[in-house]
Amino acid sequence: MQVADITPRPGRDSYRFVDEPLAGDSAQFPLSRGSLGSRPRDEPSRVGVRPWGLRRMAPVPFRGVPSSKGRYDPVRQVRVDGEGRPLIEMGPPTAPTTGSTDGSEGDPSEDYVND
Amino acid sequence: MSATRAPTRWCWSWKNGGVEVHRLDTAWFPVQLRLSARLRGGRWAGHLRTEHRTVELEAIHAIWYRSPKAYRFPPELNTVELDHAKVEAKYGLGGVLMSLPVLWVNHPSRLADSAYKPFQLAVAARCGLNVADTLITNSKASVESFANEGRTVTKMLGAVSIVEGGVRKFAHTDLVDDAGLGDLRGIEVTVHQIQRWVSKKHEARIFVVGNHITTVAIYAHSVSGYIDWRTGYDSNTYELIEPPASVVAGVRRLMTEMRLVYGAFDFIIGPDDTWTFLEVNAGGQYGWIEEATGAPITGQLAELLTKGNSDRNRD
Repeated sequence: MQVADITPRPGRDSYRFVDEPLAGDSAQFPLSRGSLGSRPRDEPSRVGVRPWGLRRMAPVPFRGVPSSKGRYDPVRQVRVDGEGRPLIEMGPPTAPTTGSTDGSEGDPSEDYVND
Repeated sequence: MSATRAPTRWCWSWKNGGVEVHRLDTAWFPVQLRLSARLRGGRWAGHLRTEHRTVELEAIHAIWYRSPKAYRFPPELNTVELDHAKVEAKYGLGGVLMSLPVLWVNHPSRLADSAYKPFQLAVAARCGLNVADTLITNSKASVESFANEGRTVTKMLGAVSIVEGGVRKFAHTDLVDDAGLGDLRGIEVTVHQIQRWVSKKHEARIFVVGNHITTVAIYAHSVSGYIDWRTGYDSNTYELIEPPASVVAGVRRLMTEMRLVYGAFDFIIGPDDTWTFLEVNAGGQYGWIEEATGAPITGQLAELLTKGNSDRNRD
């Protein structure tokens, strides 16, 4: 098994910020895993290299009718449709995702399924 | 509706209710969010400002903090500059916010603590809750030995969802079958959670919001949903129930020990009505269950946040 080199080097001497193995100060005020960007051409590693648990990872099947995406209205602080009507007034979302129905902007939420 | 939609509901329902609600996304920092804070008499004073609103730090009395996103810095920064900016923002903006003497639901440090499932399981057992027999290991021999003792499942400790090659993937709880045990290559690469299968009549999620406890039975009606109800949203059914007093007592002790004010607990209810703790999610979702059962969890959260409490969970 290959062992990753985690020796501090110039340019990554603050590695403890993202790679601290235990909680320490690095886990306080936690944010999402934004530092671990996925490259579009990432492929699963060969068996033996890929963690055993990741073999169970499967694409999330999408069922239902996608909710209207709308846009975030920063003044009213809610997501609205093209005519400015709050999506919250249109009933529960019909898709098992939170990304397009919450009021936040940008990337879909990490809780793609209810958890 | 997801739990993350709750702020939307609050913003909408409180727009004329005299309660001022501000929504801020940590990913807005620094491009769309400005911070200016000075230490005044033992607390930080100043403001957070976006193009559309200004939040005075001293006017905040409660914060709902859930699934915060990483800061987004200008792409022009080189790697060293980016690391520097992250560290300074984390300790600066993060430090100012987490030291505010307000009611946090939940406090960032308590969220960080609670993210560690082995920690949760140990605390739950100490609090008198029945906990599934669990192995945390990167040893093939330990997995084989554990699996030989009875029916076994595997579940992630943290990364239940990844984006790989542009595709979002999810790993549900799975039975460890002969095929899985026959090829354990990759076990040694990182830690894995292996757990004894717990026989079940059904499952339940307990929502704790301050002093309120709401319990919902979750009935799965598919083969995969019986193993992990998250695969059965299309067919699951839900019912408000009352948990045993001993379970409620254990849940309250855990909340106190982990200093949480909101938590979504998952339990298995066995054929003999034994309740087995699986985990507590300090940011667990509730919206779809609220839709299905009418449980007033959004209202409980709104009440809790409106009330606030300056001493409750200051760190």
